Amino acid sequence: MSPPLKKIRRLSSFIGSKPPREDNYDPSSPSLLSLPDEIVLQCLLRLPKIYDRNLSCVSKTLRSLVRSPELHRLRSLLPKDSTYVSFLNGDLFTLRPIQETKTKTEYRLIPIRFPSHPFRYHSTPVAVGSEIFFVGGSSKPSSDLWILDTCSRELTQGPSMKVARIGQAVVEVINGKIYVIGGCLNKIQVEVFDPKMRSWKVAESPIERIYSGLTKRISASLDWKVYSVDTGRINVYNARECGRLETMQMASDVVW
Amino acid sequence: MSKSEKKIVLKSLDNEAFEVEKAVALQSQTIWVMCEDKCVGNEIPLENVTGQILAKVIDYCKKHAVVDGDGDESSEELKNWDTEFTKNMDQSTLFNMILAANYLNIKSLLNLTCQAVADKTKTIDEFHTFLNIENNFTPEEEAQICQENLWAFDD
Repeated sequence: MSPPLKKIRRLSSFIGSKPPREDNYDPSSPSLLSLPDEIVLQCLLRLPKIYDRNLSCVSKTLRSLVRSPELHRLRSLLPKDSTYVSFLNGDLFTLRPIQETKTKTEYRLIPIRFPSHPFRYHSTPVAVGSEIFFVGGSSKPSSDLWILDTCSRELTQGPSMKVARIGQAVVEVINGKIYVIGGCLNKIQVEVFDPKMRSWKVAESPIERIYSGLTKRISASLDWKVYSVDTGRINVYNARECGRLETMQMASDVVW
Repeated sequence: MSKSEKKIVLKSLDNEAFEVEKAVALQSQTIWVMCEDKCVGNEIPLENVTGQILAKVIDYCKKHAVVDGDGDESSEELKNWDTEFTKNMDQSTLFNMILAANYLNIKSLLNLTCQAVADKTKTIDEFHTFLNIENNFTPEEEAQICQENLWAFDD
């Protein structure tokens, strides 16, 4: 009885079937693409995405593998720990470790190239999971939402907010949802976007109109609260208690 | 277990025979299954692996086997050994090692060799030559694809 053989592909047939057009293709020596697809994907998976562009230019077959949903799926399973840094002028960077030794890790900001679009410069970016959401406008009110998927590199326009808001709106993430507060004169002060449901909801607004200053707010979220710095005080928006708004006085020698 | 039962003979595609410790060979899931099924004697024919490649696979398995308390090398040392192991492999050997690791189902060796392909692709400018892939674009398609504004994400 012969031994049970695992399903495998032929080892011997390395020879390509078409004549080479590129000088450096040698049909008599093994090609990456003679390996089973799942192994080629395992090799591609171990290459940084920055190589995608060059790899896509090598051959149709390789391009379709580089762009395959399977590779994106495998990549999305990799442990990922990216930090994105966005500047007010619309430039977006990732923070990458470039050199690692036992005692220290060196990081560098690497620019992310993506199409120039007005929202880049006139919206507030916020990240949830592997997606970056660009919300609202800046000096000109906008109700737009743009979504950049950092895994698939796809940029899509999401559903719009009910109310157009200017850049002084406070945009923070609470419990995986995006809270957009103020930045408008409308009575709908707060809207909440659920990235999973891909929909906006109007949240209960505090009676007092929020954030009427002219400068970009400095804000942070903690637990169920959004803290933002206003002139001489800190506004605290409580998402749990029907949007109750508290204010905290800042020390008198701090001028905002 | 008698001495003869601890050894196993692996026979390559080109009929080269290698006698190895069972513990070394059993790192291959494929060989493990063959032995479990008891449908082979002490000699296992490996119809998809040449002697040249099988010798290297056995080197790897010997290094990674835990035989009689012999496998207590530090993980750092093992890692350095792995790096050296694949460092000077030429492209054809590396691809054949990948196929052998896949056929023999040795996951750590498959990971190591796939990583080596990725690392070599990263360090050489002429990765086309290394990957040896036939360009099957028409000249028009090629011009178009290289102009496309594919966003290069860096990670």
